[in-house]
Amino acid sequence: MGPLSFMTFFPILGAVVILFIPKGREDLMRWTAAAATLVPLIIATILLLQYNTSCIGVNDPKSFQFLERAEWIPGYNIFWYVGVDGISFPMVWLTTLLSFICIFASWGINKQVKGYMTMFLLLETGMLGTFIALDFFLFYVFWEIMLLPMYFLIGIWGGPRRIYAAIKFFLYTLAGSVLMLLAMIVLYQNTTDPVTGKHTFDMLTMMNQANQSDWLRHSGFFMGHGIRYVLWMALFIGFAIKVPVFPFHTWLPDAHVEAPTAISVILAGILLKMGTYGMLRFNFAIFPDATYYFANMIAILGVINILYGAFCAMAQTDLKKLVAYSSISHMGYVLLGMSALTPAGINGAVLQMFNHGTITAMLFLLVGVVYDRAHHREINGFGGIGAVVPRYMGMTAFAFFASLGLPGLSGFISEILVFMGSYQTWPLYTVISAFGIIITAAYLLWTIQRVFFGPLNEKYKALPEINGREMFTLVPLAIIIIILGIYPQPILNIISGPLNHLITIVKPGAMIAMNGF
Amino acid sequence: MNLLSTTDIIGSAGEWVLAFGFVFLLLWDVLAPRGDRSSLAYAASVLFVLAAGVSIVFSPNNVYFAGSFRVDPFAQFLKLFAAIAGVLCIWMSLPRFHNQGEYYLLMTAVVFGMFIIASAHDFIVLIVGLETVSVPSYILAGYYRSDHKSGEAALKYVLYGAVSIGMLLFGFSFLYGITGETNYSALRESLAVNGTGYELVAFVAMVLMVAGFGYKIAAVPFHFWCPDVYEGSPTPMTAFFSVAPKAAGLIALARFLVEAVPGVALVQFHWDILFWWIAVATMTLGNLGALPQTNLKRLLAYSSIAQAGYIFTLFTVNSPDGYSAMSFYLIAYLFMNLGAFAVVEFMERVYGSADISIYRGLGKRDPFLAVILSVFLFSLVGIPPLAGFVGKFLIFNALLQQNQTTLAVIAVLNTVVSLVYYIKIAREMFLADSDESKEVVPSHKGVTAILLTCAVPTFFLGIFFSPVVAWVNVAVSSFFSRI
Repeated sequence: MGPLSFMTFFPILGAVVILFIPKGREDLMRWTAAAATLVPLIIATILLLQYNTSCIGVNDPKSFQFLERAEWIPGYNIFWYVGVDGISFPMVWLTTLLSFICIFASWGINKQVKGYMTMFLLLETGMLGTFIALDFFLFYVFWEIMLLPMYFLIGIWGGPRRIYAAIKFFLYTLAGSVLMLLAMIVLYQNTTDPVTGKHTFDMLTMMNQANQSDWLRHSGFFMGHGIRYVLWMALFIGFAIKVPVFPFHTWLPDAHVEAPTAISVILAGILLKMGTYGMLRFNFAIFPDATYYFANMIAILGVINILYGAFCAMAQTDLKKLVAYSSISHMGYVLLGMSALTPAGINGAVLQMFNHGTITAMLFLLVGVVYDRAHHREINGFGGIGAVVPRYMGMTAFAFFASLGLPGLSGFISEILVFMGSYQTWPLYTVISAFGIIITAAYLLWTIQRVFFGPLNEKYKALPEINGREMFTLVPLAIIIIILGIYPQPILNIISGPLNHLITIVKPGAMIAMNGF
Repeated sequence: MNLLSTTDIIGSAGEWVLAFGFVFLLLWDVLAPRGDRSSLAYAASVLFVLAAGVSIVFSPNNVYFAGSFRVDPFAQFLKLFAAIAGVLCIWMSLPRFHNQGEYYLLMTAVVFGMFIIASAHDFIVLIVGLETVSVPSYILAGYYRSDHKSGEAALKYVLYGAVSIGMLLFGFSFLYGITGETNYSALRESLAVNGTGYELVAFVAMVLMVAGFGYKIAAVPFHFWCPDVYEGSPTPMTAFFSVAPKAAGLIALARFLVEAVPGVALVQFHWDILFWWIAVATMTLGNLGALPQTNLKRLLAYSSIAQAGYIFTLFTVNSPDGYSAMSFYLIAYLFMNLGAFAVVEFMERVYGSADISIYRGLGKRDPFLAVILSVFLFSLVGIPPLAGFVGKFLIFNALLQQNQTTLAVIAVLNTVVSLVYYIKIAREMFLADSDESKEVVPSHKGVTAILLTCAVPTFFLGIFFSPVVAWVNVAVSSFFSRI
């Protein structure tokens, strides 16, 4: 068993151990869960140190790292086939980090701790498996496995409208993934492994058009692209629901508002990225021609996400809902950057996926901190608490500035890259979405003002300051935000090779240096 | 002609074992003093397994009784299926019916009927098999003589059953008119030659015949009996009805389509369109019907209609892969559906109701029961890594292979709809604010064994399904190779 498999299944092992801890030993359960998430983090960090940034990956099986391949279901050529490249590895590391942090963010949960921790660890396995899978069937299984724990985590430990939010999340995501299931089966039936001559679920084999059937390559309407466009759409909708892209976004505010803090962090930090990760991995790499054809549409959806999300965020009076809509807005940058098909744009997009994962995690953690104390999240219900909780205000202001793209913090780098890249392809869209930054600044600054400044709300005269455990969950993220804000090169080194290669696949005639841009 | 040769006896060895076993059990029940009949129930279970084993081991693949009775791995598959379903349902019934010997006798008769259906290679034999399944089922449905719901169930079952068998026979009479044959092989050969020009007649024939098969399968629009019968019957019987006769109906129709008509018939007589609409209606109405249900037996009744709808889609493709998927799905369905019913039966026995409110807060009161019921329900939805997912995957795979894309899309959308009502139960068990006044569920040792027997395959078939898929592939390929 290689490091990736071990890392993926270790949380389940922890979950099994937790199941046998008797009632009343809640702290032991929490520490076990912490250990079960710490080990994957350590493994991922060791792998990070060993990571070879010159390996490209994307569609070349030889340059994937930490590869493992074992037969699983021979009748249908399904393999336990896992490995990472520059697109997936930052997400894997982020998953392990946020999972570890979230165990500490869930320390205050006292209702059915055993169930909570078990579900959480199951969720981590699902997330890691999704990012490392190189076999479509395996990917799909992991993708679906995440739904169940998520449903229960929102539904049991969530807020007042948790039942509605949980089922909405489940239904939306399931609707998306069943379309993906059909697309997967069609791809399977039309991909032949050149070595064995059988159909295969191997994603990397699917990416080579020479292995695809004639029917898939050129038949149907739209001058022989029809089938590809339909399949592209099926996959895209499946992923777009997860991102969430504009018309499919309504589950997100509900889910975020009702979910417990740690689950919001995971939802915004990891699960949303799975949508864009899936687009890069499947839509871009398997159907590059269709992606090129639909790039304009992705860009428009990106612009809508940026502006619509920002405007909605501005209108919110619930702090958590505001952060939720700001996530929609920020995922728009990812879409815009991806659709530009320029090195700066796509690198910015993936960097934004990572940065948004850390920044929005901080935001949700901070919302959780104040909610635990005040038991509400009404922005207008506070006022002047900056003087009472200066440390909390400092952390919040830091996270807000990172979110609005203050130079020197990581959000700025990824947004500027996205705009630089997208301006080359979509000047008009870029100019329009630049207004998104202004709106973002407006709602975030306005929120800071309403919550922290002004006359002190007498109710919160004795609001307790942020405690050590909470600082422990926030500081690592803050450090990452600062480091990547000043020196983003380490992560760009990892992602730029594969992403530049991906552009050459998608964009006809693109000649791009393999590293840097 | 020798009426009963040794080869015929060997070919139908499993049926003989069941028949003699039935007589033996009957004598036992009549002669033994009144009282506990648990040992008779155990004997019946052993008998089922023995009969299935005998028919698998001793009966060589061939046709018997002048070509009217066929033994092949596909028939053996259904026989084993019937035996397992029978054993599980007997097991489930024991706490309720430990004094009623005749109950197990009737079940033995039903299983015997399913054995006949499995091997039927002649229309008359099929009718005999169907009636052998039906008549004891009517009695079993009305087993609670004093309960008017049970009586209503039995009456509905009888009336619908009588009409649909009549329609089946009437429909077949058209085909008989064209060909003059009842034997499947002869029918196929004759229909290939004489069928041309009788497309409309053959279409009408299938419209009528599908009523007969559809009644057993509980396919829309022949499903109206189903929710009432399921609700009124004793729960172990409901569990049995939801699995065994359905499988028998599906496999009987599969056999008829593959063996009794030429391969082109489906398209030539436009039967595929008929099946397409029935499948769509069955899936959709089954799911929509389940949405408002609050009685779990009724809910599972509608769910079983929808599940049959997913399987029914495979008749439109009529391909070996399709029937492999059907067989696999039936195996998965056997375990997940019986598992779900086992929980319902236990809860009904303890609380006297199958209403969903009984399940409120079960996650806290009895986590084991709640979790295992959720496993069955999520498997019925088709969430990986459970058996139901693999079954759905195989069905969609078979549909897309034959370009039934629209049907596949309708089926997956139905899956999403089905989530709403399956998860309603999980919601009640885990998410709803629990009612603390309800006491902890009493111990359930006997049920635990049944539940684990169903849960282990539900998991296992979801993760390592290749051996079973390989097995059903062999069975189906034998079924397609004509003797």
